[in-house]
Amino acid sequence: MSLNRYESQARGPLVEGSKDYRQITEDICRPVEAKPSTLWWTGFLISAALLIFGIVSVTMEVIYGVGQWNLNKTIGWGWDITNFVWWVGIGHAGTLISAILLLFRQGWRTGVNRAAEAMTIFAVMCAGQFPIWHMGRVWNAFFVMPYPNTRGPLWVNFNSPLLWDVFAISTYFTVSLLFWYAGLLPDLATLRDRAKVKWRKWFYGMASFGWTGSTKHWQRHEALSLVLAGLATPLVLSVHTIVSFDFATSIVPGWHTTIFPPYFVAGAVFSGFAMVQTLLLVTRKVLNLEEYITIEHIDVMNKVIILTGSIVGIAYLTELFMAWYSAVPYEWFAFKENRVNLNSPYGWSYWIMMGCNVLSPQIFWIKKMRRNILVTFFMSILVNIGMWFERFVIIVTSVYRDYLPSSWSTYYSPTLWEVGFFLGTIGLFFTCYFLFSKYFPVIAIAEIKHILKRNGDNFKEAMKTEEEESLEAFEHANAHH
Amino acid sequence: MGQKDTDLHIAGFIYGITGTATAIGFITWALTVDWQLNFGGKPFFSLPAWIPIIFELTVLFAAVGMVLTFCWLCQLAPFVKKDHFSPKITDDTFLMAIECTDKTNEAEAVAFLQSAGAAEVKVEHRETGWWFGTYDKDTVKFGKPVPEV
Repeated sequence: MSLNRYESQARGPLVEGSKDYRQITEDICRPVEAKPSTLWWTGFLISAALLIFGIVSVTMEVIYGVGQWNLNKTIGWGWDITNFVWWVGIGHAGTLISAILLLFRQGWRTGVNRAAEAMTIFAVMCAGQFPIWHMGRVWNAFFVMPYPNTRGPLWVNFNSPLLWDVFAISTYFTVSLLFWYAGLLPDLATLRDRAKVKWRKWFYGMASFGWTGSTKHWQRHEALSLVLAGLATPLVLSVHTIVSFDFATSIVPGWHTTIFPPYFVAGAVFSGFAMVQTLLLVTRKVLNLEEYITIEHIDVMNKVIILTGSIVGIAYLTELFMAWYSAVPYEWFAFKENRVNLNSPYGWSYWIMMGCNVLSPQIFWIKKMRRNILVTFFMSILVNIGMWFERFVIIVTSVYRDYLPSSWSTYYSPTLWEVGFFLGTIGLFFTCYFLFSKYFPVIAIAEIKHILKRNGDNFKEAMKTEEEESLEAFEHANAHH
Repeated sequence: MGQKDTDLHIAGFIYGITGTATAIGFITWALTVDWQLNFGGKPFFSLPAWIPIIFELTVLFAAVGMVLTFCWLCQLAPFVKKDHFSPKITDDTFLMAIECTDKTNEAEAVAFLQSAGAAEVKVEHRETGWWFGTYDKDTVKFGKPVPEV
């Protein structure tokens, strides 16, 4: 066995159960080809019901105006922008897994990248809803695009972070979609070649673009994936940086801080990985894919969660310190009185954020906890609750008491239609995910085959001899004579 | 396999700088020539504030352009029907296609492949243009699926 095939035993196998290529194809295609289970239908229908509730809520808002929400002159951004940032953040894990981990040559990405990328696309779709419907006169939403118009032409303000956001989110969505679909082509071709029914042959034949799997196709495909990964890596960092500019370039106390870009990116990866955990723990169970999404995968993702969670924790403390150290009374007031003070109207939300995001992930220092499915699932939900409150804290506790005490807001709480809109996007997200898990392979088949001979447990077992070999024996076997 | 390396990444670079140039050029024209707007007394040509959009357009042009070029080079598109030698190649089989011309001794080639341990050797006749622009008229090919080791 040559040296370049060697991988340390320190990392467990990523494909369990002595698979060969055939078996991998069978295992991953099975859920796509079988009839959906009762569990699938239940989940799908609940999601679709939530989606319908969301559509009703948005319709109410369009007919009667943004006044249907409890926003006012002081709190112009409430639940809607909180939800927007929350969803965009969740949409960060997919491209991080598929792009950055591809560049870092991390074998474990292959088990989870497909589902994570799909999740990214759906999350960004949900995120986009909020700024669009918040416009009120949504039929004029296209005004955000720079197109020649009869108003001058009066161009959009290219110096505005809100316009940067339009470009960032739409570029991110497009590039993620292309990356995801390019990766899907070979697997859709596998499904096409296995199809027995007419509509499947038609659908997967159309969707796989006539992929033949020739060497030249693969060669270009790999070049494409690598360059797209190279492009998506700075992109993924730029998107949440630009989202943070929506706040950081203003002079509102609580937002006026230079730490926002890295802090937002770390938070985005943190919440994104939590959502990946939530989805994959269910997916592997329901679709019987425990041998491909292993405890090893869960373990490494929990390590990312504790790393990014701790970065977020340091960022919270840093901005608190800087608020005091800057000696700006408004800034310090926003932190001391509006956030840290538990007796202030929204003090509770700050401490929920601290508890869920900073304290609770520390449990993952313990290996046993990282590898415990129930703990991981519970934590993934907790982290996403915490990250929602982080955005709520940043937005609402900053704006509800501004420079002028006479314009301070009374207690802001959402209306039914605001909550309905949020639940509707959760419905949209899960409806899309359920359809994806039914009609597309949730694991990248071709990529799993690629790592099988390095990370499959049967192959890994064979490498053990190399690991235990003495230095002399190793030198003897490998030295060039 | 002695295949020439693809130049797709060079195309990507060209698309990228096209995006950069488009963004810089358009924003400069819109805000300094076509309709000057005074944003808080800042200069009309305020390049630092445009960096985010310049970056995004660079990435967008490069990614979209590369994917389209990839599809064009491989001749991939929805509803394109291609000639597949075997449905097994997207599962667990490697297949080698060898092009035969009038000068090829078919029987000899088949015998050679079989002696080399091919699992299956087939001679198939293909129509003109089965593969975009690669093969001439009157060509004959045969496939050789090799079992995975």
